Amino acid sequence: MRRYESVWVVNGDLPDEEVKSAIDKFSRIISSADGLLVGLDDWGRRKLAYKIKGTHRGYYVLADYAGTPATVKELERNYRIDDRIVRYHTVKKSDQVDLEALQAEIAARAQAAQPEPEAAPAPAPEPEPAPAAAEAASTPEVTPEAAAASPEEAAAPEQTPAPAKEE
Amino acid sequence: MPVMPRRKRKQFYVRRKVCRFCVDSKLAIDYKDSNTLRQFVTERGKIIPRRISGNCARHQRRVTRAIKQARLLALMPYIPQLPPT
Repeated sequence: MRRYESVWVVNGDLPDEEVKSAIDKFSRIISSADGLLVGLDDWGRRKLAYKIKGTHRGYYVLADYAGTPATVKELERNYRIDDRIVRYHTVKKSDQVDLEALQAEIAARAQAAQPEPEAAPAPAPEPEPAPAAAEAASTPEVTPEAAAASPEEAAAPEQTPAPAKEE
Repeated sequence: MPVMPRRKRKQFYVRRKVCRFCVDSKLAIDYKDSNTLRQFVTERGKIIPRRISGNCARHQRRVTRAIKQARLLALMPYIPQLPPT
């Protein structure tokens, strides 16, 4: 088995359900063609640098998987059939794959996906420094340094990444 | 720079450029990271030559490749849409 990663660009003008079903379809193809999906990284809708198939928007998904050359062949055959996939790009990451390490990675990713929603709301409330400080104080066992720091200091670094995201 | 001390000096001094990827091994070249790759492309979307970017041959090759891959995925432009002049 080899380790691959693919970027799928789904037509960004399609409704969310269509995009989701396309992603599900290709995830299933990976599993059905002797592949092992390690993780999907959803980049969301982005502006394309140029027009493809009449649109300027694309929904990007990065798929990380292990498989054989036949897996990739089958996938690429299906990309060409499916109109929703606007662009795809597959890169081989390594020639050898340690299945046990891969299983561990899948488990780690599944675990990381769960605490994320908990961690995400914590830095989110930037406008009100008071609740942020309260939250920092309520979780001292997770981030003792952050709680020890003064509320202004804790709030300042949180505010800087926010405008970057909005751009 | 309000004062220009360099003005007195007439001869040019060529500073030897070093490949920034060789200096910092943590810097990765990745076709998915279009923000980093944008540093190696002109305003017109052309790949900046090695004599200007200062990259070593090996890293320039990788940068070039990554830019071309990013272009294919429409993460970077082949020809940018510049505002009309």
